[in-house]
Amino acid sequence: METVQLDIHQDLIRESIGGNRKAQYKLYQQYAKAMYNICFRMMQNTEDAEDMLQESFADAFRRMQSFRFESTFGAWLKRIVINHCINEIRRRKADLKYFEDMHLFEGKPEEPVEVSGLSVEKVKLAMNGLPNGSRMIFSLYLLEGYDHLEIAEILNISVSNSKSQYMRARQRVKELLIQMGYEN
Amino acid sequence: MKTDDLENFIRNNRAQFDELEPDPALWAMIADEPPVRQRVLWRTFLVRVAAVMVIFVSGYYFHRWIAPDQALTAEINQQSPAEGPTHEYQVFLEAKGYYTSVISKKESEVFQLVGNNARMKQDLENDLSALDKSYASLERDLGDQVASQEVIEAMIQHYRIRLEILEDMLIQLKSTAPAEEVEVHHVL
Repeated sequence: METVQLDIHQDLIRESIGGNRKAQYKLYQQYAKAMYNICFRMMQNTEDAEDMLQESFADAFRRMQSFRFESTFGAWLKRIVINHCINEIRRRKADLKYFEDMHLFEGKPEEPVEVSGLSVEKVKLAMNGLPNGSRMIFSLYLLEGYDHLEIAEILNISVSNSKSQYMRARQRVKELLIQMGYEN
Repeated sequence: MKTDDLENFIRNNRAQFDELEPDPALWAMIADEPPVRQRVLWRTFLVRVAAVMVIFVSGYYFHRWIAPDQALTAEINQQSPAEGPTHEYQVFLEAKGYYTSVISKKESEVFQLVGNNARMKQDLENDLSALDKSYASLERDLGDQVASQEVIEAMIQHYRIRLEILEDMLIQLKSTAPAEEVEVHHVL
């Protein structure tokens, strides 16, 4: 485990724990954008992303007294946000879909990608071509920084499934990028 | 896992993946939101206890209405100061001692979990205070009739419900504990 980084918002957090709305607003300003983008990646539409952001912050402020400075506030908040999104998806009984053609994928060499032709917009477009569950694994690993053990816990799947789905997703993103031809 | 160009590209351009801005109006909705779950639970508690009070008072007066002589005789027999407390009343006192002690411990646990959240703490204190006043008022209204069987049963029922709700509340508060096991390296 890495050394715990001193949280730069300690004073704000302590004031927020006491229910100080000004301090909570400052924390919100600091983290709202990052958390909103996570919500959008998880829920895939603006309305749901806003609902999840609102619920997550309200929930986090309600139980801030249990934040023990054992992780950064951002990591603690991010986990609350992701749990809210996952719970909402499960509440709606919306199945997460994963790649099923794993036998076709095994042993197939990954296509090389020309970095010079890449753009963030194209990668995001290619990610949208993934099944929703596989896309979440791809995002949680590459964008949110979780490892496969944590992803397995979040999505209630096996670690090996998380790893293989991630590799399949990465390969599929590359295939889609190649199909796009890196056009401007 | 071996990193590759795509992974490196995404990591090197990570900030650009967070280009969306949340609606500025969202904060107002977050700031206006009360601690819903706890308040709903506490209100439910008050409603349930109030229901017990109504049943208990109605039962008492209904009993007096349908059998006034019998009720009066029973009260006189049970509450005569010369005879001292009845067996039922002694049982009630023991039950009251037990429930008061357990409830006190549970309330301490609830307040401990609520922690330093001043707003939630104040809500709980206000609601508990209202509940205590309601209970004290009921005791005063009944005056010297506290030894009747209906009253004893209703009061024990009151303690049981209070204890049951506190236990529900503890389960709920514990279940909403944060993800403390979160790894520390996810620094934003």
